[in-house]
Formats: sequence, C-alpha cells, structure tokens
Amino acid sequence: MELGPIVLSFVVALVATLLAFVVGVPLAALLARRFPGRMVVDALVTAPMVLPPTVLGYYVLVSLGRDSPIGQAWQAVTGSTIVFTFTGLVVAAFVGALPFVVRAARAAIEDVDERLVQAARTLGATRSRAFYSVTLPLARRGIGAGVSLGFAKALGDFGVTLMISGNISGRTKTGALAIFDAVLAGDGATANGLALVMTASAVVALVFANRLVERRAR
Amino acid sequence: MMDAAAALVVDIAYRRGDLALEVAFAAGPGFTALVGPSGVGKSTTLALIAGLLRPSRGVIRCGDQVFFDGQRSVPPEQRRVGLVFQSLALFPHLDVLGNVAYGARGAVTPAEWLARCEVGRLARRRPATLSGGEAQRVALARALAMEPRVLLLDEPFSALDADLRHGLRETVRRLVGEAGIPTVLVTHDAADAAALATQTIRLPDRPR
Repeated sequence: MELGPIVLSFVVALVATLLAFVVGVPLAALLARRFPGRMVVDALVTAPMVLPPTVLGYYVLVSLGRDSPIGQAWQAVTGSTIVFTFTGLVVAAFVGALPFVVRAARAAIEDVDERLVQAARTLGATRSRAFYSVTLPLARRGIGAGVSLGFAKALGDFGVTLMISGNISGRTKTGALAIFDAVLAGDGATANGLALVMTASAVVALVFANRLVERRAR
Repeated sequence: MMDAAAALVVDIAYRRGDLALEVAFAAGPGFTALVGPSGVGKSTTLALIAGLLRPSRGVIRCGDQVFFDGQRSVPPEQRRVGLVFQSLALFPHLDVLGNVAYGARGAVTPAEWLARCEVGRLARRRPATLSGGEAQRVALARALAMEPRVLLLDEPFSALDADLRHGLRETVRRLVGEAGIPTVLVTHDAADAAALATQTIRLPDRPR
C-alpha cells in the first residue's frame, strides 16, 4: 500500500485545520454577539455542513478558478493556480472544517459567564484583553473539540477535493481519493488498508473531541 | 462635611423592560448602604456606576472625573471602580493569586492584599476549592488590589453564617477605612447597614 495519499491527507488536514482555527475563532466570537444579519452569516458559515460537496466545489471553482479575479491574482503572486494544486486541497478541506470549528467555538464562547467578562472589564481590561485572558481560556475545551471535529472532517473530504483539485497522482491524490481509485481498479487490498487508516484517524480525532467536551462539562 | 474632591456623585435614570430606576446620591469616603426590596434595581445601580450598563440620562462622576454625562460614557476599564459581584465572579481558570494580580496596580503586591484580607495562605488554590467566606475575601482582595477610586459591594455578607459575617464585616470596615474611598454597599440586612454605613439610600419600590 502506498502511503503518499495518506501523508498528503494529513498534511492538508493539518494546514486546513490551522486555518479554520485562525479564521473560525474570531468569526465565532463575532457570532456570539448580537448584530444585524447574524442569522444570515451563521447560516452561510454552517451551510457547508449540509450542501452537496459538488455545490461547494462548484462555488470554489467559480470563485477561485483560473478565470476568477482571485485565482488570477493568486497566480500573479505565486506563479501557480489554486485549483488542481496543494492550495486547492487546503481550500477544500478548510471549507469543510470551518463550520465545525465555528459552531463549537461559538457555543463555548456563549457558555462563558458574562459576569466574568464584566469583572475583567472593571479590573481594567479592555474588551479585547478580557476576550483573550478570560473568554478564550474558559472556552478552550469547546474550541478544541471543534478543532478536532474539523480536523476529522478535513481529513476525509472527497467531493469538494475532487471538484477543485482533480485527482492527480502524487500531487493532489489524497487518501479519500486513493480509495476511490483503488476500488475502481479492483485493488481491494489497497482500498481496505486506506479505509482502515482513514477510519482509525477519524475515530481518534472524535474520541479526542469527546474527551474535551466531557472534561468541560465536569 | 463631605470631601467633595473624593466624592462619588450619582444622579441617573435607567429604564429597561419593566425596570424604571431613578437614583440620586452623593457618597464620600466610608460606607453608603443601598437598600430596598429585591428587583428594585440595587445591583443595576452598581452596574451603572461601574460602567457595565449605560444610564438613559443623568450624571455619574467621582471627584473631578466624569464617568457619564449623558453623551460621553467612560468605559469600565478606565473608571477604576472596584466591583465585588454578588456571584463574586472569580476567574475559575486562575488561582487565587492570579485573580488578585489580574487588575493589580500600585505598590502593594497581590500577595500582600491577600494577607490584608486574611487569606494569604490560599494564594495557590483554585476558586472552585474555596469556601464561601474565603471566596468572598479573595474577591474583596481582587477589587482592592486595583486601588479603586470607588468600591461597590453587592450583598457581600448574604451567603455567610453569623460568625463569618461578623469577621468579614470587620475586615471590610478596616480596609475601606484605610483606603479612604467611597464604598457603596448593597444589602438586604438592616444590621449590616447599621453596623457600617454612614448614610443609607433606600430605593423606592415601584408599582408595576
């Protein structure tokens, strides 16, 4: 069994999850506050959980493809495209992971007792210091659980990845895509091996997420 | 009689939902008791003075610093108003010393503030492990360590039995005396008001 696709899946999932964390936590903090249009932003962020991967992949292709302004700008700066590259894989995994991070982080942030934040303010903390020194540490388990779920999701993406990164052996063939190929080629041994590794990874990530949530509840 | 330079002056109205609050008083160094039936807006008044809520109109100032004047509202972190919440609101992720150090300023160390509140031995404990009386003293130390211009105490003795209550009352009296700052004490208990306060403000019950 070739390990390249599995390694690629892990690298992509790690980078995508890191990005989802960096983008998702501020977004969750924003959504935890009341502002006009909150429901719409929330629905847009959550939509990737329920939309068909082909729809998502199509949107990403249209907005980041070779003919799109963003795709062209990216190509002008980096010399390569977003689609059909490692970057595209990361984008696909990021889109899948983001809603998990945002939903869990938002719930965890909303769970933090508002009086603790108020106490921090009366003790001289600005709004942002109170967030970093009180809200974030107290929400960390819930955020960690969301990040674990996001990682599991990013690891296993198939549809969006196929739409925007093709299935180029050695470059954009992730674990999930390699299983697809192995099954088509009638290579049951490879399919079994890859499926086992992917399943084990996802289960480990989910157990980790559950442990974080349970310790938070205690 | 009252030292105008250090006095807290409150003259505000606040309306939200079925709470319509109007409160006006001036408080010099020492205790001002804020009493009245529950739901009448005592804790709300403290939140307004601390800057956690914004009055509908009126003035709040402390000495020559204006906290609120109808247009401008100084954010809570710039008011230096120490507020001891009824729930205490100790930070559960920090130990006792970390709580006191959070807003500490001035020459007196957090450890020294804990000692003054007679809980120096608890420095490395987590808030969740403290008894009610201990937590109350830690919350007091945390508020005092920021060297507040005004101190607000929301039912500081209500959760304690008679012995603890008396001990804490004496600690609070001594420390507020040393700090020489206006201190507003919300209480249900006439005995607390009588023991500590030089003036009592009664918030009227309002017909609903």
